[in-house]
Amino acid sequence: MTADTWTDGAGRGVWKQRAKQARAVVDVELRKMLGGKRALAVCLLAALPVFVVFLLAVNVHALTLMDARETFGTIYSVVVLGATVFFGCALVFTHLFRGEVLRRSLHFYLLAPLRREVLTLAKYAAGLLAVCTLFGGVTILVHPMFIVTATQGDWVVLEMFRYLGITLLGCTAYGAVFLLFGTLFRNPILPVAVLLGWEMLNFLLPAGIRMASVSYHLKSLLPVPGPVEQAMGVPAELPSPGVAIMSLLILSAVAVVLACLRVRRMEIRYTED
Amino acid sequence: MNEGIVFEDVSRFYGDVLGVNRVDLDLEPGIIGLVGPNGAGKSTLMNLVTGLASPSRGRVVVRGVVPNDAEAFYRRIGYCTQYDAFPVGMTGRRLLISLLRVHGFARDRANELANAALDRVGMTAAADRPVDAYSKGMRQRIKLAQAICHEPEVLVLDEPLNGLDPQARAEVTEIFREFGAVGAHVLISSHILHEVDAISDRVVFLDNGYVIAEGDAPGIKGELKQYPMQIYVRSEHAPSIASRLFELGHVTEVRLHDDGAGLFARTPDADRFFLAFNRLALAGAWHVDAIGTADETVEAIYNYLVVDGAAGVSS
Repeated sequence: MTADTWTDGAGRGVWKQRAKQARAVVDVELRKMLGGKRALAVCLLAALPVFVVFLLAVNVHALTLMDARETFGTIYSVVVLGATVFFGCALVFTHLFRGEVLRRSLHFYLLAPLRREVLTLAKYAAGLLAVCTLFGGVTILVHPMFIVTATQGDWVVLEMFRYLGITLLGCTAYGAVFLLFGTLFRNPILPVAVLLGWEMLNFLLPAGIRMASVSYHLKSLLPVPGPVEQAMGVPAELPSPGVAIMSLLILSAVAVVLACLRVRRMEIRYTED
Repeated sequence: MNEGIVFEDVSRFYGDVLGVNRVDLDLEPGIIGLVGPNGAGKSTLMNLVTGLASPSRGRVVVRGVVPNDAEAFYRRIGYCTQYDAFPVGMTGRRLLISLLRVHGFARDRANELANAALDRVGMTAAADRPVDAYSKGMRQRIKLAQAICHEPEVLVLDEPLNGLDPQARAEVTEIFREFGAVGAHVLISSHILHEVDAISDRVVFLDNGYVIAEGDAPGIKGELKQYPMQIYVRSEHAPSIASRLFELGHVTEVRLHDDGAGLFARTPDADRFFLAFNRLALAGAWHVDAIGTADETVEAIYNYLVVDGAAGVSS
């Protein structure tokens, strides 16, 4: 036995060891993310809401708190969720496995005495840690930045945490879906584009189909109606926050489990890629 | 528990394309050369041994463990692949330590093993430079360090001598011998046939996805009875020896060396040849500097089996 503290069977030592390996994978992944060119693109996406809010904040003054909240709700839906979280997660999570295949470095992981499920979960956790820290931080920054400037003093602290929760939930769900895309498709750009269209236009779809969408559930958690809902009136069939959160968590879990199954059957055939 | 690498009727297809077909092997520990032309199935065989590919049919067992049991299997395996790629933005030392941590080693032990592997492949001085800035030879050596750093029982090496200068080749082959000497399996695929010959205990010849011969070189050559054995003689009396050798009925060809100080002779019966040659040498008072078989080498057998197209030999 070469690696320390392994024990046979399903004893605690095995799980402790798997946790240690997962931490090592997270550590490696975070280093790679920080060192890669994609980090710059993800940081630019994270800076986008700050830039937009800054531009609006210097031009919009003396709004009522209600108007400021509605305006921020629109900025949040379109810029933070629609651009930063969606595209940021696409950049990070589709690349977790696909990037390694393109770089021909996936075999380093696959040759380690590491269950593929642990590898997949650890990579997902690393991606989640990165985007949640970055985009969660942006959410915490831009909410007071806009509300305080636009209302010249008012601030709704609890609402900020609600937006933070939506951001984290959005990262969790989009991250899981994009992780799966990265294991399913040689070129994930097309499915990402299809998902973007689906997410943007799903308000046009019948209620039953509309449920199969991340944005549909995220919208129901917004403190104020999103821009589409403001224009069209809030659809009565938006799920309750509890149902929306559970749905998104179940969707994320299913996507991660499917990704685990895909990675479990993955073979190294770089020449075909 | 079987300590060998066992292929039980293993086939691997990539769609309609054959990788390897009906491979039955039981490889004992030691240094095993894997030889064949491009597309023969060497990389497929190595990917099957290391679990990076699964058989379409049959099964592979490495030292009693199957690849599906990743946690037990990959503690035993070290694979130096042909892929000249590394995780982005890492130094050589960071790469090894990170991989050892992923293996499950504690930080101190990972540092210790990484330093030992770097020292063994002569990369200590360059260990803290980014891998992306390494030369071809350095990348080859850091790949080898990655393969051996966790002290595997089975070392699989795909063209491990590529890009190495002669001194580095000698150092690296010495590492293979050290692994072979302590009872590890060292499976080497290389196009440099004389080096495979020099370090391998046994050789597996592959062609078009089939194992066409397996065993030690003299044993395989002994099975190739349809090919007369080639014998070399170095002597200042080479021209007169040549004329006398033609008198032996079983000698089919005699060819003088370019310098005139030696000859090649072909015979289907080497034992009779050596017996007759001894008699002739004594009678003629020839001074013979050297005599031996010229084609019990991996390169000669490769030419017989692959270039000339013989098949179905096993010893």
